[in-house]
Amino acid sequence: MSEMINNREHAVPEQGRRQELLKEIIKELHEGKSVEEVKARFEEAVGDVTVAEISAMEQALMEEEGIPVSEVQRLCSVHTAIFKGSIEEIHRSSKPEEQPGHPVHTLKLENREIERHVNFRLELHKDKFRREDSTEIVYKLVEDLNLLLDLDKHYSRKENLLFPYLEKYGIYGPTKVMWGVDDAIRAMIKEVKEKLLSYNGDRADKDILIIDLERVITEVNEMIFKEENILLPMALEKLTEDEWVKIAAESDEIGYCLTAPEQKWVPERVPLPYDEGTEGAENGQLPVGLIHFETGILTAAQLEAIMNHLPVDLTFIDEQDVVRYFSHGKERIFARTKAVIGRTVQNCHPPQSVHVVNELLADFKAGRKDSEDFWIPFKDKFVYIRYFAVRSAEGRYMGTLEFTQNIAPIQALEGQKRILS
Amino acid sequence: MGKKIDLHKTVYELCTADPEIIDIMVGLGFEQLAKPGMLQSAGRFMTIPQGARLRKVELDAIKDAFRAKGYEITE
Repeated sequence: MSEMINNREHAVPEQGRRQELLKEIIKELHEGKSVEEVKARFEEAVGDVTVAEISAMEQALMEEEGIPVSEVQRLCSVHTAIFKGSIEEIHRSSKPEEQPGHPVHTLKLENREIERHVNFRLELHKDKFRREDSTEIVYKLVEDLNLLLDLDKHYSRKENLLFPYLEKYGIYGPTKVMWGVDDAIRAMIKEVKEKLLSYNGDRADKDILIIDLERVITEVNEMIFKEENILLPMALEKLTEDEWVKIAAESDEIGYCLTAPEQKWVPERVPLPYDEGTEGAENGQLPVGLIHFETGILTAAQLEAIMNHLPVDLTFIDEQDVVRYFSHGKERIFARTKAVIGRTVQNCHPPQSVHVVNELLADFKAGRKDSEDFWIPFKDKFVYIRYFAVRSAEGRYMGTLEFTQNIAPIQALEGQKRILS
Repeated sequence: MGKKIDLHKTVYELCTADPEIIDIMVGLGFEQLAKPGMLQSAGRFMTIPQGARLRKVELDAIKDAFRAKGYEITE
């Protein structure tokens, strides 16, 4: 607790002044003023307050003003009464996903509504149907299922807004499985609804319908469990705040299930790894994603610019010999067109030199060689062409990197240069 | 040395520490775990009790299976 007091001493004057005000108000309370009286003054003078400030203040009251702990405790409920509104507004949970409007908060909010809907309404009507299969109760069930079809929006947001990001981070398996189950649930609800609509009091049909309804209830509940225990924790670990902002922004278009976010989520601070000037950022498209390396994080735009500023030309073919990428700096030595991307390297070389390429790749793949260099005069340049076998940390062949560079200016270097020119 | 299973640990933690656990789990009906990527993604958030609830496998049956293989279970 002592660190709090030290912090107070070093705190910016504004904060110190606020502390003083808070203390004054609490003392007034202590001296017998009514909650209503001080509440107005509090709002006027302070406006907002954080929980940390309140605990610092309570601490100060005890330590500096000599108000006994028991007294502070007695005042606690009064503090709460005054601060309630503002604490809730200002002291937002430190976890963004617990803040209204955050996509995870919204998904969970919907889940609570869905639970209520299936576990109370649908469950109740199903039991009633078991006892008396009147037209009225059949219609109630149809109505329940119609409402439940609203789930589609919940699932669609998950599939179309959240899954693409997870896939960007290499998570495919669980998303595919879940999408399959989502579809099965949608189909199941529709099917049961159809069956109810054509229900004619047949005993066997009734038994099947009850089983079907129970299955709908179970599956919907199970999906909620999967979302909240696996999908959402996984997504929270992977996605950046900016990505959540994008998801939140695009959510309205798909819509919500049985409820809607209370407010637009505005993160306390939006870090700006990409913002202005980033491709797509202005016109509301999906931003270019972040690329996580072992040694740092770059945006795709940064990475692309870096590659194009290297004073060399790069071309990468994957382990299937397919051209995947080339850098496109200002002065490319050998022209490359976008048409080569996705084609095999053999198709991009003149037939007379294909055998050289193939032999080199065979050596790389077999692990006989890790690199090969060529050098040729070319127009006014002296071109140094290097090929590298790109291997994973475990040594698996991942592809080949072509690295070409005009080394004429480098060859021409002589003597030394130690000052700026 | 006794082999141990801590039911509070994630499936990922358990299986990376002792790959034999994957086979036992797959044998118990957790075929999903054998799929590439599952262990590294979903497995990192799931504990065995959660998985059991999801796959509707009796937790006791899982415990028994592990005990039969000589594991000591921490709950």
